[in-house]
Amino acid sequence: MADESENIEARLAAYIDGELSESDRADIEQYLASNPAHAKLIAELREQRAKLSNLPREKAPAEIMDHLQQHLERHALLDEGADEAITRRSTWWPQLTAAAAMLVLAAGLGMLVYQVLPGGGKADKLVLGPNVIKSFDKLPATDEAATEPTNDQKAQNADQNELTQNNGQNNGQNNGLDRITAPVPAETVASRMEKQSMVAADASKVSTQPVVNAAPAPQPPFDGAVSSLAKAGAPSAALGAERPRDYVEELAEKLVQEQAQRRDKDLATPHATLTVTSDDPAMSSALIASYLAQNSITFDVPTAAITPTGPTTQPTGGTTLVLHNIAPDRARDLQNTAANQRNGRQQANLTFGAAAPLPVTTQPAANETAAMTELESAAGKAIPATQASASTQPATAAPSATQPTTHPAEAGDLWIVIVPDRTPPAATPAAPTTLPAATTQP
Amino acid sequence: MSTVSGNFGSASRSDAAEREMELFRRAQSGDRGAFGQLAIRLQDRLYNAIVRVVGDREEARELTQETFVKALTALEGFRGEAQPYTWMFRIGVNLAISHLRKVQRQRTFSLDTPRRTNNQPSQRSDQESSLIDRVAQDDRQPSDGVLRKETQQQVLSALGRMDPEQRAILVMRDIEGLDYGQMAAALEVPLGTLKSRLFRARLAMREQLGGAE
Repeated sequence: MADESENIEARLAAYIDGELSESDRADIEQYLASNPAHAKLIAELREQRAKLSNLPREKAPAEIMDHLQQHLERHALLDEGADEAITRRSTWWPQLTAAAAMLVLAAGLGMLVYQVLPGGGKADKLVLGPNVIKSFDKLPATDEAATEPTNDQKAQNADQNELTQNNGQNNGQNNGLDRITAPVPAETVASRMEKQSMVAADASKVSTQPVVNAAPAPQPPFDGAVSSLAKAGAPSAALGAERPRDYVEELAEKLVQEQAQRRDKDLATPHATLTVTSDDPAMSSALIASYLAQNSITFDVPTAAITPTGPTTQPTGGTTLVLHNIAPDRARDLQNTAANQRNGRQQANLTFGAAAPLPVTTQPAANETAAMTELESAAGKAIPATQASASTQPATAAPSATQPTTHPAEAGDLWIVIVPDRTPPAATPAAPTTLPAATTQP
Repeated sequence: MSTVSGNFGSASRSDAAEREMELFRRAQSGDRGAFGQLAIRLQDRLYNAIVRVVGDREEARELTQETFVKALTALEGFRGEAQPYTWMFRIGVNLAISHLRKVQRQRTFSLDTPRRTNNQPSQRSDQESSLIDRVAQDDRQPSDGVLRKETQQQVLSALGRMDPEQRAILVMRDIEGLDYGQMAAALEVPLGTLKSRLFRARLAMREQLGGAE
């Protein structure tokens, strides 16, 4: 019944619209002829239909197309596949840069707070954080401390180097190397002393004023006061921070320069492995980031890529950390970045993520001579004659330390080993006469 | 004569439909300019239909914009089973009906608008008033006579009092001139059901116009 009713309604609708066939239309007209009421209804519906058709038409406002145009432009921008990838990459850079900056800032603040807080540590152990200090505390009590040059000695060495450079007598290979406690032959020390006295004599001839730097006199009262402060754990961050900082800076500068020279020959395979020895992975990661930032070595390594490798305990109680797991494209970016910064103050190509696990430095952190020996040999640097004997005899330089293992470094690899300076800081420059005594220690 | 003009009109509509389909295919292949051209061709018809359904120009503008955006995002899903205009019309009409239901529900619950009876034309519903006050009182056609304006107001008033679905059917057929096949595709109902609903909608419209008294 419902279907029949629907069928009738459908036929009537089609009749009003003139969509019926001739036969169907004839049937309906025959029916309507005998039912005037229905005929009137159909007529009204036809008239109503005409009224609806005659309603004025509305034109679309221009805002519709304006809105669609904006949407199409936005859609086009979002749908560009390549642009999307570029956008994704470019939007990552600020985030990674910000993350690296925060990491460096946090590390710096942590070190600063540690150094400033009273009792945070001894003044002579403020450089690389408590993790390194802890490892130093575990070191065997040898007479290595006596082999280390004091602050006074290092300052004196710096003065001496500066003077010899001014006299054109520097061979360009002593950038910080003479601060390493390598045994230096007596004749070398004697020649240094001779040079120093000659330079001091020349300086006194030039100026009528007393030359303080040429031969600084020891100041026991001041020295003693600072020493007592350091022993009491008073904040003396400047004393503890600047000296190893100089060591790191000079070392990095030297190696980076050498690397840049080699890169001129072979730009395709620049390597630099930054290794820090510590027993605290987190702190070591922070130190790496801090070191890179301090040396303006720009690169972009996710924090997660700084992961510890190697054993958790070393003979020295430290852990060697290396940067690795850097994606190939990231390595290429680093290469390009370094190539673009050839004229910069600092530059380094950092290529990590070798197929084989990066070798772990197993030399004891205390053995700075061994570290430098490895560093020198890995860098392929021509060791000056005055230091060759010292560099090639690490075992004799530190008898208590273990022999450094051979690293499977590839040609062109650079090993930057940041080892802490265990030398207690001294506030006053040492007298020149202390230098031979320190450097002639076995 | 009527046969000739009808054939000519059919040919024109066929050409237009082919052109629209071509633009639609190009738009599906990523040519956004083609989609823009298609939108330009369809915007007046679509907007006019929607404004007759919802009875408000501002709401019709927003719904038309939304229709184009929805169509753009759903381009890949269109398989060519209908004409582009029919496909977009279905999107627009569904949006309009959903909008009317939502607005009607909100107005019913929030304003408690008095319901109209057949013999109380002064107590107009919101949609009825909307159609009369915001559409029919249009000064863009100053040449229209007073009687014609009154007739249009009566028609619009009756249209505004109708059920949204029935109103949409009348707009599609009697205002926009869609054929039964297009309407059935747009409303996704069988052809017989569509015709039956059309007849009932016309009866309802007649009732709203006072013809059933």
